[in-house]
Amino acid sequence: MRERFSVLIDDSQGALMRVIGTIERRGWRVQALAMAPHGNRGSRLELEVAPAPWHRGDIAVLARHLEKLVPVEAVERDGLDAGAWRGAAAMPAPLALGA
Amino acid sequence: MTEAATSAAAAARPRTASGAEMLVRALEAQGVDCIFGYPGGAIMPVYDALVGSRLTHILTRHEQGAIFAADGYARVTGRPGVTLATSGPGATNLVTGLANALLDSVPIVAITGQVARPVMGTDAFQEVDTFGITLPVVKHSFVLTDPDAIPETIAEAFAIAASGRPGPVLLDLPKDVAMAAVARRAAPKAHRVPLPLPEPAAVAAAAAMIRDARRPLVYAGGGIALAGASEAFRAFIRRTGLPVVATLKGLGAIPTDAPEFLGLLGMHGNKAANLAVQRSDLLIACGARFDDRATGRVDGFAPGARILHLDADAAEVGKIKTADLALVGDLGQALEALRPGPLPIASWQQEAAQLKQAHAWRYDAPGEGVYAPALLRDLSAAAGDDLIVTCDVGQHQMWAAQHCRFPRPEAHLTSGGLGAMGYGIPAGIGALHAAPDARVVTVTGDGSIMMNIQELATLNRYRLPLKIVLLDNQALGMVRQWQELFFEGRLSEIDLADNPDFAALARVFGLAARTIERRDEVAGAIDWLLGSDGPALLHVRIDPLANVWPLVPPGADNHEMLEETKS
Repeated sequence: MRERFSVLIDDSQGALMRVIGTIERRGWRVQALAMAPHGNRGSRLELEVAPAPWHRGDIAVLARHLEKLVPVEAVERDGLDAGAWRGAAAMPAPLALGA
Repeated sequence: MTEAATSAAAAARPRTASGAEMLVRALEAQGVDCIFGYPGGAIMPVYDALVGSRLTHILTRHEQGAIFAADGYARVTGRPGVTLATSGPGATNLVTGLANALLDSVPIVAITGQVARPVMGTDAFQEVDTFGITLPVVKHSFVLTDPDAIPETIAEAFAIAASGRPGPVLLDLPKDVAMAAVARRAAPKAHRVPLPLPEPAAVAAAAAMIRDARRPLVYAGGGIALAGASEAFRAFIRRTGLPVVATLKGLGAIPTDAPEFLGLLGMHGNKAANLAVQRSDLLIACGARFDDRATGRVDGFAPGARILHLDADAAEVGKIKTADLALVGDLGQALEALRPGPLPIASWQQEAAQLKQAHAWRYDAPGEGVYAPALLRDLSAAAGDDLIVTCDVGQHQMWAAQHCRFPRPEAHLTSGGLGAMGYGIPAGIGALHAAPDARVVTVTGDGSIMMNIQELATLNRYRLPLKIVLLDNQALGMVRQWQELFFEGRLSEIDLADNPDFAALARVFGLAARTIERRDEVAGAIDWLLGSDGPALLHVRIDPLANVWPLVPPGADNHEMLEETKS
């Protein structure tokens, strides 16, 4: 199943490579990608990804892996941060992620 | 020095410093006392700046030895280990150590030399894209392209390495940046970023889940030690009386001889631990990540249990096994807050105790030859509470996990996630620098020891009293065991019968050494090893056909353990 979401990154070295590398390494393939400046120095990535056929493909878990990356400021889908997504095996409620 | 003399010295000091000197000052400002490395062309300015610095530099004989030593140092102290290497081959030799630190969540700051900025990208001598090569195996990384930003970047690297779920951070330093003149100034100190505290509503829900369970079980992982939460964990177990199983890296979270402790779970776990998991109705995962070596077939793991998952890392929740409830954040605070009150689990506790008794390890193996599990049990009993065991990878590693006593998690340094042969001796070097008064023993095998045999020279150079127990079965024993069990006995490239004479080899490197092969020699040999001065190696010939039992076959459920068949 294809998933669309956006990632806000800062302008640090390798930021784009870290995002793309994490997506690939965690079992997903990038199907479409657009990148545009965002804020003062960052970028906004609009991504469409699909899981590898053998992968269980939980987009909420992928989003949390991306959120851990130092240059990633937010991972959003439908205006929601990844912590609040309700995917197939999303973070169970109540959520204890703090702010 | 008088105040006047101090200010005179400050006035005499030039206002500028090299980037390399600022880097060394910044390391000192982080409280670093000891770094492990190996010099070479592009990192030479840093080695020059080390002359006269407060930092102790430990010269290993291979960069992999240096980063594994930094890893061992970090695991014992809880502070980032620091490693230094040159560009090109120096940097590529660090890759295994970075991967090891990433998979086991060990805080490491690795600094690599790089060719000068103007020649980066031209295939210059000893140039590789260190930043690119290491991207998948670091928590974060920097190329230090701005000499003026060195102090802040070092502080940031230490903060990232140690905060949240720890991990390795790489700093790639171009040679011209290291040689640039920059304004001399004080370096900031890194501050560990605290993790979020658990929300009261989530804690209340978790406590209710525990109260509602009839067969609750704690599954303890390496995250407890990483969070500095061993005391909070022990208090939680004392309060609740919950039975505990542990992963390889969770061993020692409570002492392995505590009554609540059922043993290591998973592929080479104790049968009591695995059966308890399979029978539980609530599994409380504390700083554990449902690794395949722990779970066996995931769908068959704890099939009747709800999952309560406590972890520092939100990405671990639901990664392998769907959690019914998660407390993400500071593990120690979460455990402290979790107070479910009296639990109606007396019959479950009794069942767990019976499992533990029924499946206690036996040491009555027949024969005259050395029985490795008994040797390791006796060694750890003789060495006492301050023992730190560092392991290599293979059968001996599993025997050490099963049969040594670990009173605390820092007493067991093992390459858990990566399973990197060659870890043991360098990790012992790091442990001895972290805890000079500890008794440190490396348990290794005849395959693993050859992966970093050159570090025996490091032991001799610094006269480090590392005690090495080499269990020699003249084979890559774990691979042979799998070939016997899962490849119809076709043995392929596992024979090491042409090993060197290990005792003679150790003596050439300057270690004391002895070889034993009979069971009645074990007690005397342990006394000799622990009583020896300086580095020493005990070479133990064991049964070439000995296997590690029990074993959950790959893809099987954890209760389907293969056990030794008595012939």
